[in-house]
Amino acid sequence: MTERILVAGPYPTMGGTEAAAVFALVRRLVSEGHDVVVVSPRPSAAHHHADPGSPRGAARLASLVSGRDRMILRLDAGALAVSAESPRLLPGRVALAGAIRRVPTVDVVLDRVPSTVAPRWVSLVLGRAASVTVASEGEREALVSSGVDASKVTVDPDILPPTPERILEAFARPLPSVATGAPDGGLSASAIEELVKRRAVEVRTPLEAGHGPGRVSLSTKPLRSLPPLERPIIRSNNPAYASVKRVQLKLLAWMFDWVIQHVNRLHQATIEAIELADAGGQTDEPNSSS
Amino acid sequence: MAEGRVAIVPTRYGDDVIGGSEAVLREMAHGLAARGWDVDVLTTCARSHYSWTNEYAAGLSQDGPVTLHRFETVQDGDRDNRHLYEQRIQLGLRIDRDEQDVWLHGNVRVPDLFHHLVVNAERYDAIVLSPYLFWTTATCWQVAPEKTVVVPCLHDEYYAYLDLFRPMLSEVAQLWFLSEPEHELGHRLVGSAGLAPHRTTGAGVHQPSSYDPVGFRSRHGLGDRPFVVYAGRREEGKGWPQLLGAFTKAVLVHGADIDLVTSGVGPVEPSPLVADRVHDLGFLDDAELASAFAAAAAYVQPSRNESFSRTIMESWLAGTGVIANAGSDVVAWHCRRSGAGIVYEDPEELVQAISLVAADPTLLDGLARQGCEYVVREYAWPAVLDRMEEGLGELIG
Repeated sequence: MTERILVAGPYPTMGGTEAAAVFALVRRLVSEGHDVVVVSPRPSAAHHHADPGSPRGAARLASLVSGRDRMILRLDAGALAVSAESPRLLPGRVALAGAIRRVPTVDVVLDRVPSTVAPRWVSLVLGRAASVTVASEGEREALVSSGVDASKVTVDPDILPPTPERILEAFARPLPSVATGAPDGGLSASAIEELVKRRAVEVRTPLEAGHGPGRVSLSTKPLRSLPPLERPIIRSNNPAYASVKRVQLKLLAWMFDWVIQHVNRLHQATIEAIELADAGGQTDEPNSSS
Repeated sequence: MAEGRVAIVPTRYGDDVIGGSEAVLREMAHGLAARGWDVDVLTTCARSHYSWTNEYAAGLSQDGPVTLHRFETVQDGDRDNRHLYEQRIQLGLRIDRDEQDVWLHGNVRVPDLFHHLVVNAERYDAIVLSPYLFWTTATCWQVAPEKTVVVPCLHDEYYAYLDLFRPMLSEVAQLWFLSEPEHELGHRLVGSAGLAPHRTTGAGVHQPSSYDPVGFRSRHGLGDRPFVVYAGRREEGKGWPQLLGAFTKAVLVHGADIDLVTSGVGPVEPSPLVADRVHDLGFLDDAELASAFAAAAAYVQPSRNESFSRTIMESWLAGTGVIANAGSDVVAWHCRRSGAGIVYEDPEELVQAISLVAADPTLLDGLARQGCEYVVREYAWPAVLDRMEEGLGELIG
């Protein structure tokens, strides 16, 4: 008989063997013809996500499980702090218990069960579970000693399956290379590239070495046409603003005059350096031997 | 009887969907169906890879011989943290495996497609996924890795180095690369884990039935001045500012008598000094774009991020030479292998290449003929489908 099943637990692309195990379970259920919906604690390839450890996530799980015949719930007991008895944890536990009560059959798979488990957590969360599966005898003992009905706790070491084998066989078949000769009636690609590179070098030469054939003359006309940088003028005909104006001017001078002077000096030095180079002279360089 | 049953999983699918890998997978689906394969396309209801909004109806339909299944996208992830991690990735900063998961699922998910494969994987002989960067590929390969082929379309970008993608490149049944530099990048990314069985299939390019370069000039009022053309996204990552700067310098400093024609999306923003020489034609259909290539003196490919570069193939087919950025291993490889394109190492070389083409608009014509032969020989769809079928044949046994 096919069932409407909700599976909640880690799911790919979440890492770890638990996610792989839940994925394997989903595949098996699907192949058996069941209608399966998957919920993972955080976004993944699952249909939905809801963290059963938080009150909000557990409430969402409760709404998603409504109308399903069965829920298979894989929980990380370590992450849920099942050994602790704290009022702070109560809302989340109550919400999870509420989700469990909304479905006729619940099977729980518990990972990382600590040596002691809080009886209140057991009664709230596992009380209505039809079955509880753990990986070891020690974990089973811990649950039974905390009040879980021994008849419904199963030990299955295979709840953590081995990782899938890798496929390592490799074959590489690079495409055959094609000779790169000159095309009929034209320059080859390498000849054109050579031409491009030569021209680019020639353009760079005057900037890098100062002189040489084909150098480009750099006119200083555009630079000379730039007016020197000045402090902005504050205009106001209202005598009442005179004192404010004076303060503003002082502030501007203090903040910007040194910048303006530097920019103007740089401007002038650039013009002089270019004119010197164009006239056939040399710029001052720290390592020059003139 | 069918050759076999294949599921092809592009992120988006349709006549009006723009995207390189989407186009390759669509052509592949129809090509394999025409050769007797039973092809299902499994894809999303989205048209735009920016919004991922469900624009097509979910469900089953027929696209010629191909059976099309569409699944709704779900956007329920942690978008704020995803945005944060996205910025960190873009800056080359490391994020851990859990953060990579938040990043992957934070934009868009397609869980119904994933579970369709969970239910139906047994019915398929092969499942083809592409490209590596999208949710459908990064998750669905895990359903049946023993029969999954990934066409990754890798670029040498920060995303490719995320741990998230490494098992996929090692554990699927086959990887199909579009070029040798992409294949080499795959080896560098995976390191000692070793790549899954792989081959370089390339991607196919269709030869248009005709070109209309004269009509193209007339329809767009381009006059008689020669022009170089660029088609694609006009953005920093695609090298558009570099091309625009080199073109401006070629015209203003070297007096190059040439125009720049561009088609695609993104802001053009030319300098006012050359604005009358830069012509933005917006989106052009395939036939008009082919005519643009045919009418141009050269096609410029300034992008470093290419996994195949279909536009340089289309340009060569149209008889137009290519000037390409040597920083793109893939494009430089095509140019070297075919001997049909020139590459530039820096912006000044691009300036000079444009100036040379302006001085002699027929300069690259001889190379273009060589390029045309290269494309027809290596990347005509029948040749590419032969390689893909060879891979599928080995997979099915």
